[in-house]
Amino acid sequence: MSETARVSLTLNGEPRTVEIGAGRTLLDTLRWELDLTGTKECCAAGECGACTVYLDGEAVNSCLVLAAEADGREVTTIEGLGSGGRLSRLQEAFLETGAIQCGFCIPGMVVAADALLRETPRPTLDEVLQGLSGNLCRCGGYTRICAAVLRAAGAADVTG
Amino acid sequence: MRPFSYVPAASLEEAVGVLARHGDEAHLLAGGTSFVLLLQQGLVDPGVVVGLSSVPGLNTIERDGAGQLRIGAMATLGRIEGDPLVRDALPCLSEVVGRVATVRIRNQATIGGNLAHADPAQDPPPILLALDAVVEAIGPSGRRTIPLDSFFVDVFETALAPGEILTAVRVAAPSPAIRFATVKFLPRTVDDFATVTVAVRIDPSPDGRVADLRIALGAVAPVPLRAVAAENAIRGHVPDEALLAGAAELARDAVDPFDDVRGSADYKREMTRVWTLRALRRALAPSERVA
Amino acid sequence: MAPRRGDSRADSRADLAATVGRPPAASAGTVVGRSLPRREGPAKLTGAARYTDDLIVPGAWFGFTLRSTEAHARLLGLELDPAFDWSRVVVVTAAEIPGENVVHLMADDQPALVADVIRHVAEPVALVAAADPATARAARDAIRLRTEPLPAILDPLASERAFARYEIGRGDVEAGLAAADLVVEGTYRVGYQEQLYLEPQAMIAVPGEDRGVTVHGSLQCPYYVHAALARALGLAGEQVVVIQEETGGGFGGKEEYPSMLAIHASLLALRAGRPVRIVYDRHEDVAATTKRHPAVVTHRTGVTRDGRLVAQDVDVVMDAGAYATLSPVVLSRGAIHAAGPYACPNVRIRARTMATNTPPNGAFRGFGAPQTEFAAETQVNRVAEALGVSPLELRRRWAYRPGDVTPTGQVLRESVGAGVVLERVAEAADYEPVRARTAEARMARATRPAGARTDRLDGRTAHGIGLALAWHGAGFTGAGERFLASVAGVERSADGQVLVYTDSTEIGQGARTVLSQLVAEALGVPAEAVEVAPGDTSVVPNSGPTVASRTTMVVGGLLIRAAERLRADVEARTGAPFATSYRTDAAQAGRVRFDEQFEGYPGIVWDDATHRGDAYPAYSWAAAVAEVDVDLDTGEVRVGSVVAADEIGRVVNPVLAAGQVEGGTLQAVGYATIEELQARDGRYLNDRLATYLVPTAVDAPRIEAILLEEPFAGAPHRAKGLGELPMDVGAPAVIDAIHDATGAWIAELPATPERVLAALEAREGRR
Repeated sequence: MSETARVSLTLNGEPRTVEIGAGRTLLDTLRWELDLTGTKECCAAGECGACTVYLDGEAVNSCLVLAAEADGREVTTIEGLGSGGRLSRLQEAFLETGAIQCGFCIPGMVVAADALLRETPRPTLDEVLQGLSGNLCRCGGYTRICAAVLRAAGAADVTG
Repeated sequence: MRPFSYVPAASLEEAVGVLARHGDEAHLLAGGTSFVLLLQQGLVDPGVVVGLSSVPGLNTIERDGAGQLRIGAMATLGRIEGDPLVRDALPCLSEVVGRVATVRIRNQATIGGNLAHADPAQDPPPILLALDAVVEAIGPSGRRTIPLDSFFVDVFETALAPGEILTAVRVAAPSPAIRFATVKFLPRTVDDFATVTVAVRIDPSPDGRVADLRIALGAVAPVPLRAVAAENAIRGHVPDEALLAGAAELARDAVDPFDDVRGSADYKREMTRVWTLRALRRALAPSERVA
Repeated sequence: MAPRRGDSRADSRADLAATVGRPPAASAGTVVGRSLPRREGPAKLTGAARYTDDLIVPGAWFGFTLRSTEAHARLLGLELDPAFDWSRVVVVTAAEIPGENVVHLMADDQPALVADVIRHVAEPVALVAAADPATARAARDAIRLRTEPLPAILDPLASERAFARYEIGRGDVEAGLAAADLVVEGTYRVGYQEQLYLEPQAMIAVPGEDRGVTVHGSLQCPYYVHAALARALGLAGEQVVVIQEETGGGFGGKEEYPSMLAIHASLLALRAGRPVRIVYDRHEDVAATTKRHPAVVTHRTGVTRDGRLVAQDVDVVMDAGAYATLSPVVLSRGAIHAAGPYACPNVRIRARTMATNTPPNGAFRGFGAPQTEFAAETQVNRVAEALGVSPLELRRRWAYRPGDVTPTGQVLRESVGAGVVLERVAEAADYEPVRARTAEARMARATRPAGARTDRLDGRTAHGIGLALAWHGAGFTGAGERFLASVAGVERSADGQVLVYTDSTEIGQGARTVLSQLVAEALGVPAEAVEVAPGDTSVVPNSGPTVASRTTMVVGGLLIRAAERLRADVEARTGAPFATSYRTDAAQAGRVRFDEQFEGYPGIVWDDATHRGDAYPAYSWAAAVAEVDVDLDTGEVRVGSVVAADEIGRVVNPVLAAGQVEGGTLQAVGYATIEELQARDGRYLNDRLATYLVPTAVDAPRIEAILLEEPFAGAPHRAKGLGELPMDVGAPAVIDAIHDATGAWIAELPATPERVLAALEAREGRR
């Protein structure tokens, strides 16, 4: 048995392998070993959602996942959304509704919202609120964030 | 945190073996939502961590031959929430796990981890107590089942023996006549731990009496517990408001909460009364099942 | 299941559209007044934006802080565990500070590291850095503090040491009270509030070749950090460079505290001869950094039977914590706003901020005013109840109009929006009709026989509506702006770019976008043609700190004047409009830059010694109506909606401005209901994000922001300040709504279920 773990994962569609201490979290590993700093550390306790990533297609708090547990699995981060350097429709909607302030919650918020829309392509406002509940935004932008998600879902009328 | 080695177990037998070899040094890892926090705050300091996510079949949800629902320990709360078998047979459980923390936590946290962690503020234990659930465990001396009623021993302490692994929780599907009500009192934010949780199960009899019932409480004592005196006050009687109010007072007297940011012990005792009464009313409300 | 917050909110897309799609205030220019998208938005959306901890700095070590665990003690020495391998780390104590051991700000009483006396829990005592975090943490944990306990003062009311005392007033208060038909007395308490910017404090120091240092950090005020570094490191100004990186929120929490981190990281970097990063985790950030000042405010208000306001006597005590930080100016702003926006002939405001052995409190959005305006507004609502008049009607009579005189003797000459915000918010929230319905329901409950149970499964709930009004002085208090003498400039570069030079920081509020809009409008070019220079003290001048709702009004004004000079210069040379000629002019004239320095607003006079005169060049105004549901058996309060009307002179970017109102309102709702940092023996008890909670998306009320304009002639663009204003008005509106629902007054924030239940029981005489 070794105190390091060799982790091979599919990261934003590319195969990657890292050798890390078995206690490292996925968040730490993304930021420090794989240089993907879009995923943010805010509380490191699963309370804020700033570190939200996809793990095998489901949104999780990467601060609560040991990277060793991601071996053989697929991870998608904020850097893996959008395509060819262009913003996704969801990201465009965030820009258009003024949903961004300091921006620190935004990568996690966008991944969480993306996951919500994959599960529920035409959500109600209540479903958006529930889906984003616990992704904290201290700048207080929930109203606009929800409007952005609804706009991305095709409710083009929401932002006048 | 000192360095540790991580062993993704290929089978329960391997996991039991590693635990047996390393004793106190070894720690099990289920979903990880609590474990990683404990690790980072230095509240656990293992030499070996045995991962259960690699054990095949440990997250299965199925009906067994006896018609009981068997939920594998590694089934995530999100999976349980949406599982058709659970929704059909135990909608009350689906509701309760759907209220735990956030969708991201539910995607990761497992029912086995939830129970074995024995945090008294967790949501699933009261409804599972009301459902008279049993847990299955495997250890050095083989397999056994433990009624949930005797599973929780103290804060973070269970009846699992050293080296034993919780493998599943088993619940008999209740008959459609049985009524449930569950409440989670969250006065601060929806992502808080509960100030108090209540799960009520009522088995009505055709003559209007309560043939049997269970009232289970969470977050108001070192362990999730049943309000036995309150149950006794109602069992066999035709419920009216005065009876329920009296029972709710007995529930209040049964709890032993601590002061914390969610309120003083006195406040939590009073909230136990209020929410027990409300849960009883909801469970007994005519016709529609109140969520 | 338990009722959830938001139940009362209509779940409809049209409802949300009404909030977000509300047409902005009028007066749109070609660039100013338009909701241009946030400039750095795409980078923030893709994860490309670089916050401090995202910077890759090769060879950087990790710095950690050893902190005190006692509230007051003599530091006898540090014991380093001989079993630890100290060769792998560097350690810095007070003795190794090359300059003065002080975090320079106002009183210069706070050491960067404890030298002899520990004055609060979590005070920095020593610093450690190593190549990896685990080693550095282990080293920190291998140092033991030898101390001798000293008696600790934890209660500001028991403290005898004041960092500042003010008395403000006009007329004769005692005579006024004696002449009043009715005197209403009230005491109000507010606790700590944590800024909880989502990006924790972060700083990276890189040593230079000449003993100098460059720091990269998450901060609001580059030149505060610059001055503090020069002082503590004993360096000349030009040896220090401060660079603001993308900053994940500040709310005042990154006004003064980053100086501490910058000094610490620099001390370690100079010692180690390599870059050092200090990034707090959330726990350390909450445990160690500044909070909103707890306060006790007492009012005596004299009124006549016919509802005239004749006397206000206000006493304010703020808990400063162990060091002065910004407490004297926080107290000053709190005191100046303490009587509320009401004309009164006899006013006395006595205020003091007291030293205690607790972590120092500091800047937080509103800067003393949310505390005192909560008290003032709740007091006015109680007077309305005592007089039996509507809170709206009473404010219509009392609220400032042009020509009225404030407690400091300032005559409000123009841009007085109190009346317009009141009327607009009352109309938009349907205030009086809703209030009539809640009064009816309250009456029905009161006349129901005792013990009668409702037919609701969940017992008794009550709906209420509440109103509050606030004012907020824009810019530094008193002579502050003249003293700062801020500089900001606009350049047309040799290669034909337009560049804005200011150290005003983008911290999420939209400064980068708004300032470029103002410059673009002045130059007659599209906003995209204007770039903002990086917030690097070796590049940009000192435009003053990004605080006090001053950036748009003060710095924006300077930039417009600089841009006008640049425009005139280019147009004089080319004889053509700037927009069509500035690029070609660049080839001939090369780089041209104009800087403007602040010289004061016309007619504004202030005496610091007596606290008399024109406290602010202009005030912004806000009114809010909140609706709540109160569970009468549990004390749970759910805030269903808040309508907020904010009058800010001129709206430069309506969407960004609405974002400020929405965010400030939500922080105020949190302050009113759930945000409570508890302390025992000088230590915060709930210093984690699992225990100190802020509202989630589900908990947030529906917030409607209404922006109104009463132009301020003193600024070239007519704009006043906004950032802090919404924070002043939300909490008293919520408390008034709780009273409207239940008849009970909550005199201490936050209105936790337990406090509300206790107030209900006291009122009903139960138990």
